[in-house]
Amino acid sequence: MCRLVGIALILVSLVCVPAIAGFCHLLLFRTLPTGPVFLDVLYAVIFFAPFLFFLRCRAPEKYLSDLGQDSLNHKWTFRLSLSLAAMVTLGIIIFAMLSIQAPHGEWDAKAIWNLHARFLFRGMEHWHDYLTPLLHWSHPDYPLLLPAAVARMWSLIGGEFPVVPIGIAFLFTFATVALLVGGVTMLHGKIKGLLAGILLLGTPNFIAHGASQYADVPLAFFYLAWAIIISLSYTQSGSCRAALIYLSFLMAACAAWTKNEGLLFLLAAVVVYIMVNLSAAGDKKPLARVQFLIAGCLPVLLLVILFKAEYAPANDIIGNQGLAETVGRITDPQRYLQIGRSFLGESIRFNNGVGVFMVLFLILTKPILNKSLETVTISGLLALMITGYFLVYLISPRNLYFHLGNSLDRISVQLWPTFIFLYFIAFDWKGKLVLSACGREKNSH
Amino acid sequence: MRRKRLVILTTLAVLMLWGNMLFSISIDPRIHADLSRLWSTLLKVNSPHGYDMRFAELREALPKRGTVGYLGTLANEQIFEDVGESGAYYQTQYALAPLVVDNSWSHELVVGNFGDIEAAIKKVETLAGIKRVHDFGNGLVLITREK
Repeated sequence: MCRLVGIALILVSLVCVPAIAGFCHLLLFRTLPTGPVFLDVLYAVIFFAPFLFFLRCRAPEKYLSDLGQDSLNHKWTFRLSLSLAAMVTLGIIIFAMLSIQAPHGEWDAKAIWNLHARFLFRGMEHWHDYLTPLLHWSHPDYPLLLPAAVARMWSLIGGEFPVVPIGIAFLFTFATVALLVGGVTMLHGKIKGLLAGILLLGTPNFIAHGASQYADVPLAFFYLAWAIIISLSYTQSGSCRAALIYLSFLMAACAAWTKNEGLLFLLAAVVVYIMVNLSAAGDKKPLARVQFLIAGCLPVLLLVILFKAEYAPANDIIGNQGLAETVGRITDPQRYLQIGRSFLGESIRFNNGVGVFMVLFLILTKPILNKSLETVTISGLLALMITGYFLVYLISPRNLYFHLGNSLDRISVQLWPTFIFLYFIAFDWKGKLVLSACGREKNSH
Repeated sequence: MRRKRLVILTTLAVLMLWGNMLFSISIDPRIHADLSRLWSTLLKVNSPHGYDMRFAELREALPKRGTVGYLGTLANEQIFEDVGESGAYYQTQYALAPLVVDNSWSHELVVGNFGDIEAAIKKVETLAGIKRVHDFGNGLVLITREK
């Protein structure tokens, strides 16, 4: 399962490296490279160097699976593995069918992501022609990880083949599944890991969004990657822990280069990490690790800052704020009610009400709450993200009803894999299932 | 007993997730495509199913970069209020990138994208300052206006 996490991260890094290096090359030399260049080597070192330290990491302590006895474990693991494998196969077929129907992606893919990719690929030194108020509906302020990845791949293979954006979307979708299964397994055992994968695939909204070629599933991948790597870092020490912190914040910075919500995520991740680590008992040098946090963020964050400062127009939500109007929105109680109701409605409706069943499952099985550092960190992060999204809707100058209606399901998709991760690491069913040597059930807590 | 209950609930949960997945497949009209088209979809830049083919001739007639205007079946101010019309405008911009397609009549070159060509001809005939209209078929026209 360590390999599953490693493979997911390496494959995504193989997309991020040429994307970022290609865009830097375009800025510096006004052309997309058709082959490997020095910048590829530089960013490859930035992305892959931490993996060298992972050879020194010890495997995290695997908890007993929540179904207790060894022979029962093997039977359940086999059945759940079969179920997951079948779901992955079905998911791939669904993805293929959706991609055939819409090879250029859905609405926003043609209006934003793949459109920006075409400007980068076809425009070359004039790539920034789309940064005009005439195309305000295309959100020209959006970061460029996904368009740059598509454009760079087109440049490398010499044509605008639909296989490129479809392939990138496929990679992010199924790498997220692999990351979730591997991450939960490494921290809490195989059965929980398999159940987490089944839960993600059993909510087909995720596959459909992946095939739409929007940036929400790549964003979900980076959010989840940060959560898993940070959780793993708590089980390690020394250079391995430093490398994990560096890699986690590199992933968070990639989220910031993917979509504007990623900037909010990066800020939330930094705040939560610092607060949790400062207050962690027994930690003698909590701020010493901040240097690895900064080192992880910088290589990609500098590009985000450069793009926002020199090229991108103002964001339509932030740019259209006036003092009087903003104060009016913040002090309007109806807006709070409307947003709160929408959030609640979405959490109930999302993926045909699966959230309700997750809560029911907890009530019926009565697990133990695992008050670990990772639970506190991920809970804090999700709370900050939801609060941040709430505030964005609160100050939004757009029609609130349409803004919520058009975007809330996509925000849910962004947070969903991380939420599943938290669900499986925060609750422990093992206390009820540990069997004594005589085979009688006992409660170990 | 507690373990048995957990096993039963977990099995039910997995079955429900399967049911959720199969239910979503059965009601989504997009998930009934012909898988034999996958190969041509992935590898053909201008596959018969790609609407870029519709704009290929028009693209050749336009400059490589710059800004052109746009005309649809509805008035420019109403385009974003109609799903079909706004979709046609986005598709036009997508096909003609890196040319910027401005949702405005006020340019020397104006691309027309019409669902109904007869209504389009009637609309274009009412407009002033037209030097030339080239019909590319499939509802696409290129209007050259006087400077």
